Amino acid sequence: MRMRHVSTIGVCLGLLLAAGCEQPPAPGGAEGEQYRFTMIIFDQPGNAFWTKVVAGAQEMSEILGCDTDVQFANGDASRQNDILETAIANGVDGIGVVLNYDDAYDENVQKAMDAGIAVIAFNIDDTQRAEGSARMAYIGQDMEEAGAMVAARLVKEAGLKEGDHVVCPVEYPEAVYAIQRYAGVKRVLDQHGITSEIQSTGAISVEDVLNKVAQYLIGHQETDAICAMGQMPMEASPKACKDAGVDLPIAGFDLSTQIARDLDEGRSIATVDQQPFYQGALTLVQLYYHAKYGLHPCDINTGGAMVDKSNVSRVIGLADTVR
Amino acid sequence: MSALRVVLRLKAANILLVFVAVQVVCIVMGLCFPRSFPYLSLNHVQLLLKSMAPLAILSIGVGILMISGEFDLSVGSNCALSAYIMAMTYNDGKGIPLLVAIALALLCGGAIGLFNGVITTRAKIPSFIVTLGGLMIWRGVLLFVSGTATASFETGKFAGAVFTGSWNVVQAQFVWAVLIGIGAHMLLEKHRLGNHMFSVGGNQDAARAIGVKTDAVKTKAFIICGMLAAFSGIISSARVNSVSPELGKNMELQAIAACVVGGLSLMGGVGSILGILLGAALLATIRDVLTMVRAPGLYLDLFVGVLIIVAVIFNRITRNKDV
Amino acid sequence: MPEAAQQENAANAVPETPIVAMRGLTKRYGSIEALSDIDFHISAGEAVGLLGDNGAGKSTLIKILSGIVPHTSGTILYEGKPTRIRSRNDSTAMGIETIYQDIALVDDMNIMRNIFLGREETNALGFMRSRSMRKKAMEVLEHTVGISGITSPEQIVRGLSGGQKQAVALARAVYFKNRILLFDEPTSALSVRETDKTLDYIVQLKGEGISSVLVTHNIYDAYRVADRFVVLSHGRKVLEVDKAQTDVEELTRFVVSH
Repeated sequence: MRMRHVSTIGVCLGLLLAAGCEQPPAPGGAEGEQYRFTMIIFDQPGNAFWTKVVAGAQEMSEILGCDTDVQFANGDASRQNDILETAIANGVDGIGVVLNYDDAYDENVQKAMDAGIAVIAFNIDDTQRAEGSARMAYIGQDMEEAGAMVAARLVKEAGLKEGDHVVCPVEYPEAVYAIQRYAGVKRVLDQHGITSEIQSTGAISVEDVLNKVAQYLIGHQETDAICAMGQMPMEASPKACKDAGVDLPIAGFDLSTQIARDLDEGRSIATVDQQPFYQGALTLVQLYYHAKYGLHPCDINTGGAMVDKSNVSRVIGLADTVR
Repeated sequence: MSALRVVLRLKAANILLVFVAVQVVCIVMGLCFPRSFPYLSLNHVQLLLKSMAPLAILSIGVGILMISGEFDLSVGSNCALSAYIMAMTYNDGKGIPLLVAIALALLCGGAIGLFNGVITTRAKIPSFIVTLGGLMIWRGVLLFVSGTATASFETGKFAGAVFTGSWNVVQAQFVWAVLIGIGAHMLLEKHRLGNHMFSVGGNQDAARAIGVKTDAVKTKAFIICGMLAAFSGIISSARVNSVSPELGKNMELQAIAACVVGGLSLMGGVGSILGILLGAALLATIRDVLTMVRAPGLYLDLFVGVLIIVAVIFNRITRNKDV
Repeated sequence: MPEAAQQENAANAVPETPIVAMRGLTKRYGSIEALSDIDFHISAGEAVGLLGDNGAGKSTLIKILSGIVPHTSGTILYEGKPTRIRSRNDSTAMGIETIYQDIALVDDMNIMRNIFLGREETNALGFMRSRSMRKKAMEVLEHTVGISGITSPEQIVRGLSGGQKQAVALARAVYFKNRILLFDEPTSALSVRETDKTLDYIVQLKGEGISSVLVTHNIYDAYRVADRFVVLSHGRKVLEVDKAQTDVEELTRFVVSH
């Protein structure tokens, strides 16, 4: 008698479970299917720059009703390849990836494309562009152009002349973004007969970068200006000048609350914002519409917005989160 | 000669001699090559004093705990999380008052220390393991709370002076480190809790047999270590006016290195605050000098590694000689 | 001596209330009885030799007396009044302190800090009165037999010989007005000469009114020092006898055959 009751209950529970397993239809996607995308960032999750990229991707993801997964590779190329392969195995609908190394991801990007998964590069592109990688498009800053823009602004506003010396502190000089930005900067400075030097600051902390830049300025009294090539050096440079007891013109790259405040209060001249929000948002939008309508992703140059004292007020309050 | 004898009888005599020797070399070089090695320029001295303070304060906490026979590997993550909570709640003056925010940071640091202490003493898990887990847990909590964004931390003028003031050679951060050092010295050498700490670290069974409450002593040491980690974070954040989720990364190992170099035994029961301060100062000086001569970043790790091994051997030899 | 005369002597002896007395003491670990129905007492100014082979229960009895381990059943009397020993604090309050074989001193600290460990003289805020402690430590050292070669209480303990360390531990116990010292194999780690000095000191303390319970495998050592012997075997008391009524051979025979 008892056993019969137990097995009846068991069968009922089983049926309930089976019924409950069917997922409710998800928003987005014509037939009730939700598109899934993976965004892959090469860096540590703690680097504040990516907050804005992720904010852009997630805002669009919410509006369009997709499931977007953001993964960080902590600076390890083999980990990044693992993440790529996992995404391919999971059969996602599209991948956005930062190509911080030229060759390391070529194989997996090709594999994804062959499997029908769209791949868009954002923030950093292969140095040979479409010839070096199977990615469908690149969304990010044209680093070399931006470099030239910043250098030109610095020369003009600081009144730099032939024989002057500019220091270019940057977190990772061997990284693609550093090489490309410096190429543009150097091009313009060389035209004016101005010497320049890269300083490697690492990215341990703003305080550490501050110490390093201040050290340089103390030891190189002949420096006439600073062109900060990344967010951390840009944040540290005004304070470094103060610590070193000098007052130098500063221009550079990227945006944050601290950088915006420095611009507003005249401690630095201008910065080029590569608009990381767009890098995240537009990558996701293009992946979405490729999955939905088969539209082919296009290259987009997100950088080129020069932020200075005249327009920084629009930015303060949004910096660090979306700008 | 009797002054020399007093110095030689100090527990930290070895490290003091090494430290003085290194400083003499640097000063001589600074006098011979003032342009390329501006060791004695005022700005450089200020910079050096400023940069050693956070590590010194952190190391004092780690050292007090090490003397009590335990380790805390989570100090770096503790430092960042506590400072972040302070910045978040203070919200650049729009949130709670600064003093309350600072107290909150210290409370947070102490709470993490208490957590470490209770788990280590009650669950009888080695502190190395507990705090290794803590290192990752608290960093993860910080990333979750911050969303990887950097928090701004703009203090008013008065608070700024208290934490970052600079009057000629005197640097506020360094003064704090010295004050904390004096307090810690009084605790270890003159207070009965210090006597208990040395005994618990030196021979826990003997301490317990004579009636010392070993668990309570260790837990108190953990709490002090946690609070000093938080204070180190406050000092760092005040200098750069922001709290990055990357703050304090890898500092736990540097702190242990500073303690070992300063004459502390990894087994516990041996050490002095002067030794810890000199160890931290020596590490900071080496880092500073390497930056000044533009040595690549990895040389620092090499130097510190060699220094630790040499210091331990040196301390071992001289300790046996005394006996 | 004939048994009747023994009993007469015992009856004629002035009944003095022992400092600590245990009646019917039993200690069970699960189903194992480490001690069964033990009667044991210590009076002022006497030394008791606690003998027995390994596993007899000697260490267990000492641990119960010092408060490390609670007893399962039985009565404990302090100066004739029933009491409980639940923790180290309780036994310390009765004036009981243990001297260990592996010497409970912290090697890396100096003599003075070791002597006052856990009992530091402090002001209201907890800061140690170093000058006073130093003076008292000096007095303690000067009064202790066997501590030659120690010039300053600030000497680090690591530099002392085994015998000197044991002497410091003893001096500490005496200084803090303990009435009963429990010795758990105190001389097994010492040289012959150091053992000699330590035993002399125990006898001296006896004269000063401090009692001792000596747990040792060395029956010769025990015979030199003790006034009374208690032999345990498999958790039971198999012999209790005054020194005058026995000798080393008889004691050895008893321990070996049980």
